[in-house]
Amino acid sequence: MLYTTPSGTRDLLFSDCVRRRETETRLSRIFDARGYREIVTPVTEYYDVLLRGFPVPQSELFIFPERSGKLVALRPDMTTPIARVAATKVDCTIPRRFCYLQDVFRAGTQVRQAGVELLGATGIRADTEVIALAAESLAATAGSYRLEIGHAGFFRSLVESLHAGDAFAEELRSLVNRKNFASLQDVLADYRESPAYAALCRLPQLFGGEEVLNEALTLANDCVGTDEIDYLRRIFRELQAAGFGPNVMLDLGLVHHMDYYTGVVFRGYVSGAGAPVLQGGRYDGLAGLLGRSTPATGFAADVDALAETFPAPRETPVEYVVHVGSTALRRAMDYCDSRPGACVCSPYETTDESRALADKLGARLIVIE
Amino acid sequence: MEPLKIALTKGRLEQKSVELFEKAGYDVSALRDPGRKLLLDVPHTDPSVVPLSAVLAKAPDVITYVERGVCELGIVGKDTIMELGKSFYEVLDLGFGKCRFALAARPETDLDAPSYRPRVIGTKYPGVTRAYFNKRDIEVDIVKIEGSVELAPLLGLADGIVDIVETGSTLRENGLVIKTEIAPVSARLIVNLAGMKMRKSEILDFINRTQAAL
Repeated sequence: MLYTTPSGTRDLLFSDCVRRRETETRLSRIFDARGYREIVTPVTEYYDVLLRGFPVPQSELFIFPERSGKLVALRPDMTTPIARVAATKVDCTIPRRFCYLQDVFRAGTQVRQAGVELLGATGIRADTEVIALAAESLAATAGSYRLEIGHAGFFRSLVESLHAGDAFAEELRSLVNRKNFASLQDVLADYRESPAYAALCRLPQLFGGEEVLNEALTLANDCVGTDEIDYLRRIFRELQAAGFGPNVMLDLGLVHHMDYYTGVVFRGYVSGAGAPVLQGGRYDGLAGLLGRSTPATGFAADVDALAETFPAPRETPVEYVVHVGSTALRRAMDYCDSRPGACVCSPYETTDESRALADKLGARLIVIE
Repeated sequence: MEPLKIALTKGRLEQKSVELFEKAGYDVSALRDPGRKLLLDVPHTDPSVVPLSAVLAKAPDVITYVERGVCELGIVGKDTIMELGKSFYEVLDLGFGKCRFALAARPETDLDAPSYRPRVIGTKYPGVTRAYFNKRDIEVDIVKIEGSVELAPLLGLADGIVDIVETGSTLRENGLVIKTEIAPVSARLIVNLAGMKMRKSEILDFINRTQAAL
């Protein structure tokens, strides 16, 4: 018989836990220093609430009835729970900073996330704060990283200028998102005369430094507003001046979750992980869905993917096996406390058995009678 | 220089991929005669160009390697991409390995006519088949077949088949006709999401070289 964990879940043993904890410690230290305050929410949410929040396909949720028969789901992200808290419990007419270290359950897997949300603040000061925090979070954990920044509005206004249907917009989004240069040109063939054609075809290649913004302006050819490009330029320059250098890039083809993000979007990568380890952006529509309109920006990082980039810590070897006599409990505990991590108390009552254990572990036997 | 790792699909696409690299200026002698080696060095004739390190793999494995990031690049057929639909950048249509996905059946079978029961479709590509019928709101019962898919309608196992078709001669010889062309298929160059960002200039340089050699 095999006793495995359910699919999409795993056990973390010893050094895995050390790495996870270290990652979380470093992240929480940065979050805390910037005034983000931790919240913990239940592992389940009412399905009704999730339907009003971040759009997650039903097939990716773990849904089950609670005792009353009402449907609940394991939280698929932390954005909706925070929006619920903000809408019902916190006055967000002044800016509020939340952070969290919690598991989310999505598409059959359990993922440990660390993230922040800045609610009740709009504009460049809030956006640069959160993007810089994302970059620092990657720098503090993985070391070698890239953070790419885009803008949901640029793609959206290009597509709107085509006056095509939603299904076509979604097809374009998917092709741009996958940098599928070839098919994008085929699909846009009927729009060759449109002023947005050149920019849309080139969009997947528009990633890199500030030069991509200049190219985008030339290509966009006055067919769309240039506010988004100017906004990205200001953010990019601020981040350059703050010393983030080539780790921060621009990608105008970054168009994931377009139905949700309303402003800047960003994604983080680290060496050794094939998939993005951090995702975020601005969304000013969500809390409104829950009853109170609040601007919001934030990100979530995959804690275990970041922890994987640390070298595996060596397990501390046991140096002393402490044989504890019947009146020696306090002294034995003090002895162990004075050598943290190096001692274990023997669970045996005779010194012979304790000695055998010490030999087995390659440790010294300390007898405290 | 740290080589760029590239996964190549064994078999049908292999020869053309090797020719493409040769035209792009790479020394492909290791690829022409791999022997028992699994990781093959493919240096460029210009030593300032980042070399490649190639692996030959089955098509679904190429996608796994690229998605997981153990290879930055891959060459794989659009058929496998459509079937597995994972996350990576699909940056070039290499134009070789051309064929198409088609829905085929016996001439008298009308797959579009309204039906009380789900269509039974035999295929090696259940993902592509489900996506095609779902999009049209037609219920379908998919029978996964590993070998000669054309047999399924002849034996009465299925109403039709979804398969890749090159010339259509196998279909014709077995009395089947193409009912719908689902999608064209050809070899694609795919790139890992993180790799594209972490090694941008080297990968763009490789894409440009490859495109110029097409």
